[in-house]
Amino acid sequence: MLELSTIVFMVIILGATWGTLGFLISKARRKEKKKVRIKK
Amino acid sequence: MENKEYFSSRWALLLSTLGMAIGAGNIWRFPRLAGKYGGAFLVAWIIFLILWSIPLLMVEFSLGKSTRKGPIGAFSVFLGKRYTWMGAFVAICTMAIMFYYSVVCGWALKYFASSLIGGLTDIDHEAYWNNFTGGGFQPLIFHLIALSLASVIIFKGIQKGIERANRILLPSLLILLLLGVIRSLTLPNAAAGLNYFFDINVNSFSDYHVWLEALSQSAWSTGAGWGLVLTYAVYMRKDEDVTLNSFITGFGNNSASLLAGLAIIPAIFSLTSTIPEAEKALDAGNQGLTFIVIPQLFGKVPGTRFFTTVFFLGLFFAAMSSLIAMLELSTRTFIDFGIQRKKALPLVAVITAVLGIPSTLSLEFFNNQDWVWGLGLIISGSFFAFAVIKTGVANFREKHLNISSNDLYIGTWFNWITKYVIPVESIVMMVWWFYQSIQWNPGSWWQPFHQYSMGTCLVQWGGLILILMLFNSQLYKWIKKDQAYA
Repeated sequence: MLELSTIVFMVIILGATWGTLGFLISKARRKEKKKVRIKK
Repeated sequence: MENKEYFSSRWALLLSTLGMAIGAGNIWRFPRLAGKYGGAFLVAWIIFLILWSIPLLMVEFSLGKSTRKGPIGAFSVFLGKRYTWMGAFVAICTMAIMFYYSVVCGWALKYFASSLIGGLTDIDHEAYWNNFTGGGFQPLIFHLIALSLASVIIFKGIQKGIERANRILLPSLLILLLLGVIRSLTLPNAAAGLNYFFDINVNSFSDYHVWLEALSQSAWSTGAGWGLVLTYAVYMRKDEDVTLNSFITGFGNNSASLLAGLAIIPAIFSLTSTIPEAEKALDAGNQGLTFIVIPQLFGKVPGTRFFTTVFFLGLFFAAMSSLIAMLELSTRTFIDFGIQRKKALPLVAVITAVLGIPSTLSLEFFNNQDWVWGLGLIISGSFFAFAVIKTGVANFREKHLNISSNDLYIGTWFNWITKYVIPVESIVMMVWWFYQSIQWNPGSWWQPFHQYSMGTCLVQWGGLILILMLFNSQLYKWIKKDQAYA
């Protein structure tokens, strides 16, 4: 049985890592789209 | 000619740097430590991503992009002739790792092949491993196969070789890890493993082992300070970003490690009958956990052959994508000496094949090299920090990081970390690992021929540094100065 503290800490760690990665990748995608628009 | 080849896009570059960073250590070292130390380790490990890995990744990206040379050339151009030997130490340290890493890649390939044909079911795994590594020719053959595969990729160059290979290896690895996570989390009693993995014990924060193991894992796992990112950065486009890409590489590596942890730790707790038994399994060392304990445990679940095959294919892909980067660093070094890729690669491949042989024949030799050159990476990392400190951290930040082509603004925190935190971390890590080696071998810590001694490190590093300093001028002369320092 999963403990409540495990769930909370798991959400924090996975959120901090995967969430940050997702945010960074979406930022990179936006920057790339912007560069393409400027080139056009 | 060579420097006109570039990664075709930002995503191709990122897949390659992530492939470099995500290696065997993510699969066989991280879950072992995370399982052993629990949640406090995870917190410390994320902190050191910012306090060691990401700043050094930014330094490496910047040096490669601005000098357009491998480690030896980059140090000589960036710091001047006197410091060429530092770049050579970085390059040779990573090459020395490559010699035995190719052997690891071969082990993973052998176990994948054996599992695929059903050779890992209903056997004594410990005897199988001991028989495989006990001095026969099989590790040598698989080392040569793995090296040949990586060489073919490097021979094809950046876009057709490295880029294409990583476009296949990385997404495949992600799928294999996800399959492992699904299997692991759907096993009975997987929750016990999760409770252990994500156990936040406040008292653990006062355990210095947790912090030092987390720092070491971050330093070794992200590839920061190895000179590998520097090598890939040689092939970045001129308007390519450095800062955001460094963060993506660091967080991408840690994300893959967490996936590996979720695939392995709950499975171990589910397939062992008691928590002490699970702890014992996690304490089996990198090779013991990967090649003995995991196949043993996977033997207890339905679909054994499928999941063991998936696990070793994932390990092989992770190791191969890192081996490719190491082989490219070595090839790039010879290209900087004026030798064409087509001639440099066979030379590097033959040297690697020959110098990898002792590790295929003796695990003691393998472990010694892993100990010496793994620790050597701390010196390599400190050399990168020294390069920035020598030229002025504030100047470096303004000239290389906060420029229009970069997507993230880097604050003064970078100055503090590079100037003060990384040097302190390097010294503390070195002292701690030496202290550990004295604890392990109180009577023989000074002996140069002991597997894990302080003496073996000092003799091998000292010998290398002495030779490199003696030949510093010659090394500088060999570096072709045809590329302008941008």
